[in-house]
Amino acid sequence: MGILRKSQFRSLMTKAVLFVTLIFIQLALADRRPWRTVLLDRPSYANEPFGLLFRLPGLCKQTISDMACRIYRKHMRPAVQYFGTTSPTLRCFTAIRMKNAYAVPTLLRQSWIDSVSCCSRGFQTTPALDETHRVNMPSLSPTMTEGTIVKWMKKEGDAITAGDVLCEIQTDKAVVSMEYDEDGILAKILVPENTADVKVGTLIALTVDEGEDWKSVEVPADVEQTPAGPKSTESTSAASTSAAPPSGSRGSDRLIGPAVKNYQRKYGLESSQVSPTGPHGTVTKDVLKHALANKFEPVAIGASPPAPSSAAVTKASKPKSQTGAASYVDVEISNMRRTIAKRLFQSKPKHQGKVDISVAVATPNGLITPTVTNVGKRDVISISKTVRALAEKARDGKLKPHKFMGGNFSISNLGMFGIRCFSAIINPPQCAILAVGSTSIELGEDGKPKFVVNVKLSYDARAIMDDEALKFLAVLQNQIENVNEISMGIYDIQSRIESMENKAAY
Amino acid sequence: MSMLPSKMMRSTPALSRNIWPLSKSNAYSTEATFETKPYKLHRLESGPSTTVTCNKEDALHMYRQMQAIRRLETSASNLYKEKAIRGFCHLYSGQEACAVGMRKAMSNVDSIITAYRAHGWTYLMGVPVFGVLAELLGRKGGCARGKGGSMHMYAPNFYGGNGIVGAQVPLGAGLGFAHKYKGDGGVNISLYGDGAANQGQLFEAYNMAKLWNLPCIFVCENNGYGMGTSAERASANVNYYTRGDYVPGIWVDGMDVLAVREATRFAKQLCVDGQGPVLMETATYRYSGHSMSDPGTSYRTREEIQEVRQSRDPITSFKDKIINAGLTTAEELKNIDNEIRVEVDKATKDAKADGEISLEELAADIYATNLDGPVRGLVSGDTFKHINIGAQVNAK
Repeated sequence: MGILRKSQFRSLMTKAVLFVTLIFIQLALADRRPWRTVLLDRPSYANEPFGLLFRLPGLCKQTISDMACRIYRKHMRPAVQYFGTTSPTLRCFTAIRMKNAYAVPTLLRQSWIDSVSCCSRGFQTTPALDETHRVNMPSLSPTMTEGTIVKWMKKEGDAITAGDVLCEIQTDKAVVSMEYDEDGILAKILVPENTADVKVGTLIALTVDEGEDWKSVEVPADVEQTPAGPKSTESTSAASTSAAPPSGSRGSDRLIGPAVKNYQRKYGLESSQVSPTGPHGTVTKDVLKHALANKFEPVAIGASPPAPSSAAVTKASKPKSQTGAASYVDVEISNMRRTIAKRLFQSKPKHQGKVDISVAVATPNGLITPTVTNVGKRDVISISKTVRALAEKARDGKLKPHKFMGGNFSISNLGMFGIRCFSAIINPPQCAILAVGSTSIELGEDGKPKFVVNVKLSYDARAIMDDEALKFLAVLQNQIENVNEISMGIYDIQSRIESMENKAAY
Repeated sequence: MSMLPSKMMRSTPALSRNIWPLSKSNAYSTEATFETKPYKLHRLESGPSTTVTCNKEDALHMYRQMQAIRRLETSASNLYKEKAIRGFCHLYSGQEACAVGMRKAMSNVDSIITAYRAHGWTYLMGVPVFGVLAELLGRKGGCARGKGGSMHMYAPNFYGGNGIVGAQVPLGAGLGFAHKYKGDGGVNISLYGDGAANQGQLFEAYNMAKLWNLPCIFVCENNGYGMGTSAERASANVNYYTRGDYVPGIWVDGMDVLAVREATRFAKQLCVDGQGPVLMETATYRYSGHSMSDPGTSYRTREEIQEVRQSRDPITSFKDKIINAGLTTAEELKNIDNEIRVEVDKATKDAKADGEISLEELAADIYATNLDGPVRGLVSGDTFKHINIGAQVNAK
């Protein structure tokens, strides 16, 4: 400091400080990163308070040389991309032709900013990297096939450090956080929050490395846009490859007229439950009417199985139609429930209008259950003939496939093999199976021998109530014990049941 | 420093962190000296030196290896999330310094055996990234032709890759015995975790090793958690380096690659001098859960993981050290990062595109030399022909 005078020194320091600030601002602005990360990009500066000063000469030299190298490369690139030529004259002509007078200075400014931003990155000699990284929907549990993104913990443009949570995903079991293992910047969120049924492997976001321009990230062209919003709408889930997420997302405002509001209040509907298929993506009264009609049609509840005896009358099941919409609240089905429902449904017994009974036949190839269709409409003789014919065909191996599919009740008879009593397993999706054992002779109460046959009913409690099953067995018992009455043609089951109930003491 | 918000600031102040070199000549020095954390010793009068030197070549090599392991593990986790890798996948992210430091101190005759957290070690012992990833994916390009996965990775002088907790330590004692028997001057390193440290067979191995003065280094990679149980809740004595009782022990900071290297050198010298086995405990940390099916946050907070990542990460702290020492520049390391990334990405792509082995290999490579004839199948009368296809590492 002896060489310079005090005033000279002060002015030099001011200039030095200004220069440093200028470079710092350039770096921050040019990279469009938060200024804090600019400091941290050079870790020595973050930790050494005076390191910036000590390294200033080197930095200036580096900056200038980097800028010089980069200016040419970066300067030309956008021009060539945009205009297809590097010649300034031709570029101007092209700009004027394109009636975009602002293109030229914008590009020039852009290239200058890009060249300045090279300071932090240096002269790249590495091979070209795929700078945009894809973030796919992860499989966070071994059985997960699809999930819902519950919440994005980061916004577009946020810096991510390794180990940060990107989003919370609802899997088939629980809500799990998805972490990201690398440093970067979240460039684009492709699947918004609360989108249901995002398959594992779908592209959900894009990230870029630190220091890269995250705003100009392009969505890859092979990405299928998953529709936004909880109820996907055909109109908005276009196959377009536009970068903007599809409109009609849950958060957007929808114009709702007073008539529509009235309708909603009356039927307890939410506008979000209904797809906006009206003009300009709105919900109109017609849309609501349509939704109501589709949603709340009468649903037939499963009925109890009718008795398989010959004089059976199928108990008509009254389809319980749903009363007005206001009498219940539609709880949206969660992922877990959906999975449970899917699994249950795979074995759910179905209700058909008529009764088809499968009779188990032992063949050399194994057990086959040919079906006697529409038993309620047949009489004993017809049933007997059919069963015999089917059994013969089964043993010969001539049974057609449709003959042994279907059926909602099975009968398995192992009595002929001398088995007294056994339980059979229900063949899903049937509702019950009756296992008939062999007949034996026992001593009755009155001292006379009586024939006893053992039957066991296995029934699916989801379709059949316990008391219905008991009644069925009671009726069956009654029928078998009073066979004479069947042959005499007394088919009235209802009165039988009533008489039985009067007689017995339940 | 007041300009920076606390979130971005490292947890420990820079001046008190271990990133400053002891000596620095100029911006282009080729060797630098560093100070490590003090070692804790058990039954040893003197320990490894806390002053360590490192030259530029070694520094870059170690950095490259650590970064490669980190990227390899990240790639494996992404593949697992894509359901390309099934089954088990135990990641080594955060513990790279232990492996790289020890490898640097090993010679070509030394052998090593570890448990299932073996991907990093497999890479270090010579299997390329493609071999490791293909093995995890079950493809024929894998180091065991895709038949073994994590538990069956072998390389010259690397004995796996073992699934049973703690089983590798008695095997390691055996390998030490082989070194002593053959007189090749080699040393065996057996690695296990804090969860396995309470296994009975380890103490049997210590006994045999001390009794016969076997050249074994038993290393406990203490990452604080045995699956989901923290070390304090699992062990009555958490000073794992003292658990050998009559076996001398050293505690090392496992996040400092130079400290680990120095300690391994010291331990190896003890073994080679004929003073018998040594126990080493490397205090390290794993960022991911125990395996890929463990999120890793149900028994510890995310803040704890982030705190370790910010303040004690082996790669970033080593990076800071060597940059501050002037051994290299940030750009050079960035270039290495990019090269590694490109290499690992390419290996991932190639591994995914690789094919699986055919059914003829069902009974292949069961024995090095098959003396039995055809191999029996599931049902009596079912036989398979035994063939030798894969390379027989460590066969001699």
